[in-house]
Amino acid sequence: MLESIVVAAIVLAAAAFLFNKWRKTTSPKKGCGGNCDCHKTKL
Amino acid sequence: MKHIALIGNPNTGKTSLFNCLTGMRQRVGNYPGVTVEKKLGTAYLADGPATMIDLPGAYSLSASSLDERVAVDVLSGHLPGIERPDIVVCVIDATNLKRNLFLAMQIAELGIPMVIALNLWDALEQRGLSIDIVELEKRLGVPIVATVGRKGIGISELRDAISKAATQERCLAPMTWPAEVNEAVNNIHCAADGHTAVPLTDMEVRRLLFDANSAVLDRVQSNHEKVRASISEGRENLRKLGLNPMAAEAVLCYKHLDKLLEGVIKQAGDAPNGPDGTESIDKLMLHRFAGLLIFAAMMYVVFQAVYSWAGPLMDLVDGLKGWVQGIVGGWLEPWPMMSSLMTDGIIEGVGAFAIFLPQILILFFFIALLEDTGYMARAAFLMDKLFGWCGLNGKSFVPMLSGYACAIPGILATRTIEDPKARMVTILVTPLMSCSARLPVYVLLIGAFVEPKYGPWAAGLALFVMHIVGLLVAVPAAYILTKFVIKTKPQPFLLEMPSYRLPRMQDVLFRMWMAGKEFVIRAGTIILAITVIVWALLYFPRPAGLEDEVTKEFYAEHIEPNPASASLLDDPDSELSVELSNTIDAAYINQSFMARIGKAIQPVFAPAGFDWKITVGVVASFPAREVIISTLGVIYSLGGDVDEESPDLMTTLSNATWKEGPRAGTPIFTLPVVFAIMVFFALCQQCGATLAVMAKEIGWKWVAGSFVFQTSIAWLGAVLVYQLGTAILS
Ligand SMILES: Nc1nc2c(ncn2[C@@H]2O[C@H](COP(=O)(O)OP(=O)(O)OP(=O)(O)O)[C@@H](O)[C@H]2O)c(=O)[nH]1
Ligand SMILES: [Mg+2]
Repeated sequence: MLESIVVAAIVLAAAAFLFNKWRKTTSPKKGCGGNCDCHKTKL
Repeated sequence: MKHIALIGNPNTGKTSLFNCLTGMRQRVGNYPGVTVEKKLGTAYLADGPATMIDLPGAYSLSASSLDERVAVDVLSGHLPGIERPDIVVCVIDATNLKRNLFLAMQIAELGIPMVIALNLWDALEQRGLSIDIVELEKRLGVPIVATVGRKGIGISELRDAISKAATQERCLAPMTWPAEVNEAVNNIHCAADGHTAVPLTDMEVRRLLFDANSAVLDRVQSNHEKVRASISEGRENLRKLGLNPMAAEAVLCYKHLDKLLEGVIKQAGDAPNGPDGTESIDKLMLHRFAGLLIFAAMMYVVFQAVYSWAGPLMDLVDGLKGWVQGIVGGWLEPWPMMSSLMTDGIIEGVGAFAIFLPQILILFFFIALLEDTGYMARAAFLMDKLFGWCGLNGKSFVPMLSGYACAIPGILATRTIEDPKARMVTILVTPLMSCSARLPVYVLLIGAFVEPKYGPWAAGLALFVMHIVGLLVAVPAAYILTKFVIKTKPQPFLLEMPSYRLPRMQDVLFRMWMAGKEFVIRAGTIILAITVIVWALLYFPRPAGLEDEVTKEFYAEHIEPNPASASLLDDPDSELSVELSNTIDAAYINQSFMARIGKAIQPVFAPAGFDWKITVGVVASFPAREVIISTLGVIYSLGGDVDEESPDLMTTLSNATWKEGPRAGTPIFTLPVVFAIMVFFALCQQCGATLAVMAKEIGWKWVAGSFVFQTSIAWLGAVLVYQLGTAILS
């Protein structure tokens, strides 16, 4: 019983880690990305 | 805290000086365009800490590429979150004083106190030249320091000069323009007056006059007609002076500098070592045929070395893996599920991947050598000669070549490309370059199937060929994109060839260290996490009656015809016992969730010769391509297919056979299958991180397109290789 709980916890932790990673990389970060206009020099 | 910006032409050693001043370890490399983003650090000066800003190199302030714009924006204080610097350190290549001072003269107009670092002083001395610093300082009016960035010479003098400049506020005197220019500037001012949110400065107006498509024009909100007319009139007057308006600034500035620099550069006796030989080496290296031949030969040597040097180190890691597996398996004996997770899952999966650390280190050793000697720019030049017709050029090939290490820095390096369309095309094809994450896949399969049959030479050759496959697809893809989809104009080849330099061992070792660290972190995070999930999907479900059922069948098949053998089953190490336990393992894995998924998708990959296990590996590898290795490791370990004698994955794979279907009993991994897998991995877009970075640069729509394209082309390539291969071999 305890064994199943530990294994389940490890698997869940891995899934949570991956989910978090995926959310972090896909969330639009502040910055310009492909939109170059915000970099446009005023010179 | 004071803000101090380092600026200068590309490849003049800004980052080297930045590292010396801040103690940081930002990347340096001997080609223009290494730094493409601003980097911040803290330097400790006599009067306290100061924020140092390392900037991408720029030739002038009329910047057209993204990386140059960062530099310009920081200097003009337009970048949100970064204050306008209090002092600029203008890093100048001492061997190229006049051209480098052109940028300094432009910065002078911003009125920021300046310190000039005459870097690469050693290269100047090597040419038997010297610069009269005292005299130059008098003429320019700002502190000047001779430095050697790569050796840290002149750094404390530079620190002092910066502190002094902060208190004395000495600025470089801007050049005086001829009356015609001043008059034109006045006229444009009059026309634009009141039509911009913030009044334009003289300098901004001069950009309007001198640059073909100045962004300053966007700031003029109304009265465009008049402003344009006054610009044209001013340019007409320049023409009357005999000046081409587009080149007028450079011509006038160089004239000014000629006067300023008269007699400053001196011959300092004979050149002790003669010229550095760059030109004569380049005659050979850039030669149409000899150059390409040398390039190909070098690449072959690199891959041969990557392949053969790593062998002993790999065995070491493999031995370590087996040892740990034994110990952990012993500890966890009473808990079979936990033990399976640890040994068959985590240690097997991550270990099978970690074995390839030596190859990664060796590959990065060579990449660092190529970049630091200055050969990178030559390779880009050769690529331009070979593939220039596809619409890409040297500025695109540098990022693409960087993609051989990893696509992400390659994609970021495209910021040096001025034309946004050419940049877009380059971003789209860079993920096709064979990045270092593909290396383990190739080495595993080549090591298991090519080397044993054809020897190490063929193995090196196969590795070399696999690294070209992506390029061979990228070139026509770029051609189609530039011709029909994004439609770019042909770009001139504009890439400065750096002087050849001996690489600094510490830079090379640092590059290897960083790559190794990255590799280990990946193994310990994303690969580990995916491996755990894959294990769970392969381990579950565990139906209660399955083991009994399989055992019964086993008895019916093996024991009943020969009842005497029943006693053999009492010994857990007997051949029969091992076979029984393997049969049970195989039965479990065959009905696991992952097997069901794999079998459902397998028909898609059947034309490429993949079985459900390879299919599972391919599907699990979409977030990160290296996962195929850990997945295959876990599948075969859980499925009881591992040879006890030599438990490494290569042997296991070469022993794998079809269990059912028309090909039952024949090996799964035939040469055509092996190459089909490798081609699939060479061409497929299996890297979540790259997709995310691409999306930030060019948007999700393009990313989706590129993903679909690469996946289809990978599938097509794999099918083609398998079908042709089997047709030829049979
Ligand atoms: N001989 C010599 N080489 C130097 C010196 N300073 C830097 N280098 C080398 O010059 C090359 C370029 O140095 P970086 O510091 O990357 O130059 P950078 O100006 O930051 O270049 P970008 O970021 O591409 O604009 C590297 O190979 C350095 O090792 C120097 O004073 N003397
Ligand atoms: Mg740099």
